[in-house]
Amino acid sequence: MTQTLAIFLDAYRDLNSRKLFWLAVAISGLVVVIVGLLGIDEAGVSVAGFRFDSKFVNTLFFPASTFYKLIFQSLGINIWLTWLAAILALISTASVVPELIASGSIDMMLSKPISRGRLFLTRWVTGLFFAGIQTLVFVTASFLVIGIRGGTWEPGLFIAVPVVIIFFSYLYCFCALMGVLTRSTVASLLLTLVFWLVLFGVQKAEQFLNLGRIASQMEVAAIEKAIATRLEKNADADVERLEGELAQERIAAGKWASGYWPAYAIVTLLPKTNETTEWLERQLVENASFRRPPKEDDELRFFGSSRVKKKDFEEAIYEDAESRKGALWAIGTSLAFEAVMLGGCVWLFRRRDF
Amino acid sequence: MLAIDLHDVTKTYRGRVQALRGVSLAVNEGEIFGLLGPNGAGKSTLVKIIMTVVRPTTIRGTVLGEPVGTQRVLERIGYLPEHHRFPQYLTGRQVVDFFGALCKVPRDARRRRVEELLDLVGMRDWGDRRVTTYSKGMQQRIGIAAALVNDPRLVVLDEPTDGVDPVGRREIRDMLLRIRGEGRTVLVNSHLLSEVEMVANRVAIINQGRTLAQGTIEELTRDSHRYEIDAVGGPERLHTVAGPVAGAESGDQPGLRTYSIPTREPTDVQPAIDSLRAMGAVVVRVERARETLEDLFVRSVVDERGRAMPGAARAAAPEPPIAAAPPAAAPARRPPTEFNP
Ligand SMILES: Nc1ncnc2c1ncn2[C@@H]1O[C@H](COP(=O)(O)OP(=O)(O)O)[C@@H](O)[C@H]1O
Ligand SMILES: [Mg+2]
Repeated sequence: MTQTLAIFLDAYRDLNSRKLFWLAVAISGLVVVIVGLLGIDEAGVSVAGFRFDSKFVNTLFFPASTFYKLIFQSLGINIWLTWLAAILALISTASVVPELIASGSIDMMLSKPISRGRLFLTRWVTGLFFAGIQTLVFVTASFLVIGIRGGTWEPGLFIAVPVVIIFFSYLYCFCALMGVLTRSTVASLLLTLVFWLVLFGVQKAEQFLNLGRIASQMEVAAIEKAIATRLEKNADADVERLEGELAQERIAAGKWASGYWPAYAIVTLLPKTNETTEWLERQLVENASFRRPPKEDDELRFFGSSRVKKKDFEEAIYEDAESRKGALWAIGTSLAFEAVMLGGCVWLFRRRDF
Repeated sequence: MLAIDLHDVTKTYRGRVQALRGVSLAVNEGEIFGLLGPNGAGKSTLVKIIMTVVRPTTIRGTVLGEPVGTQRVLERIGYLPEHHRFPQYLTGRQVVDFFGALCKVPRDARRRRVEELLDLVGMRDWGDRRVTTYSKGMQQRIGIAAALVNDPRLVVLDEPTDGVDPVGRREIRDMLLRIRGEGRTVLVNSHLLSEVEMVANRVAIINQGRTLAQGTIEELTRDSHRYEIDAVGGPERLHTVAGPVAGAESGDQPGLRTYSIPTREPTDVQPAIDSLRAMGAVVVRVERARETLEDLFVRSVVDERGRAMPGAARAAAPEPPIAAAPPAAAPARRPPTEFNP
């Protein structure tokens, strides 16, 4: 316990001496304060007293709390916590492992009565802990803004704290492994960013294939239904043409599926940064009465057809995500990957000569 | 009892660098033990193995009566690594406190101990400044304080006087004596011989991963007592009780030769003086001499060099061809290793 406390205190002093950490916390606070300065009423929005009338963004159209929640969702989660703040946190904690194993400082640490595994993991957790503090500050401030300015108190919001920490830990375990391997802060930071982009790309590809797969399946179902209604009405004039279309669409559906499942398998093995965020958004819909995140119209139009309604398609996508991409898949398998990474770190760290 | 009792320690680093090839070390409790050797001899490797920083390839024996590297042992050892760098953001006091906590020293005890140690190493007035503002000597002192924070039985110091000015070195030597005075065992690792000679009870000389000699300085230099006679006009070879001795001509005076007679008895020297005088030579100086640790060191290391290539040899490398080896007979007045007389 004495040792763990000492390592945390040391990590705190380390971060404290590098102004970046406090800068990140301050920017977090500032972002929320700016959102707090936004006002909304029947006529439109206002920014710190300056009014912008709007026909659509006003409290007649939706309540004030929804306005702040939308901002929290689109700005707070999708831009701030899962991109910018995560990058700031990575920058301020990427040096933890390279500095731990730097020659000159590691000797003294290893000579103490603490096992190497524990030393490494404790130091790693300190990095996570301080990244978590940034998240906690941001979410608490957002909670207050939604409560005070929007008028509804949503404790369900706080689920964002552990989920964002977990999200960050996917990147941070990779960063630690790169730190052990390269011993360089800059190299591990850059490699982590590359890794993140790769994950982003792979997940986007999986989602794209999934949209195609679902659209194609729905198209098949729609044609089948059309054929059935024609047959019922004994209006079999079109049936032959429809059956031709059905056969084609079935082939297309098969192609989408055969492309999709391998992608799904790959994503299952890797840490799921986007999917974890999307899972969080679904939780906020359930627990903090957030709106469903709108799908981008372009995507819908790309796959849409005259037979499948946009609304039904959206619904199907959301339900598919809810049924197949739960916590176990989005977070559980990512944590499994993380455990392997950390295991690798500890294994390398334990057997290395310094 | 032996504080350190190690046998056949070997270490082959990745990349097949054989840093240690069977070193044995016996350190008595309560003594200052000097581990000597040129740079690259493997001193730090040996110390790092004791401190679990480096994993040995093979090892037998005990440290403080227990197997090497267990946490129970580490709790009772203090360590000052070579080229250590303390975290930039800490003050001297915080450094000592931090390492105390890592050694599981409870908070209150730590607080008291930190003050005592800052006094011991003379850093009380500087305790609240960042270590970045310290001179090299101050950093070493804080390092020594950090090494003592857990009230260790054994203190291991790797090049504690490295980069420290002469006054600072003397102070560090005095600290070593005080640490021994408190009943602790000190293992000090250095390439600065004269320094170690002043304080160490016993020493080991290692080179290229092997122990060349081990014992008290008295034991190691016992067989090196001799008398030196300077005479002008003496013969090339002088017959003495110890057999014929060659007279080494010195450049500074024509005809002046120095005869070195390996004996510790003054009576053995008299016939030699007589015969010199009978030959009409003028005896200029007769002096009793003894090998210093430095002579011994240089002799051991140079002997060894005659047999192997300098530096750690690669495990896979064949024995060096004779032509490639430095000439064994080369008189090494200035030894190729770094040391301060
Ligand atoms: N981590 C390491 N990896 C590979 N070789 C090493 C490592 N540390 C030391 N060596 C090599 O082992 C030999 C002994 O080094 P060292 O123990 O530091 O000597 P000394 O402390 O006596 O100067 C040297 O040849 C050195 O290059
Ligand atoms: Mg060394």
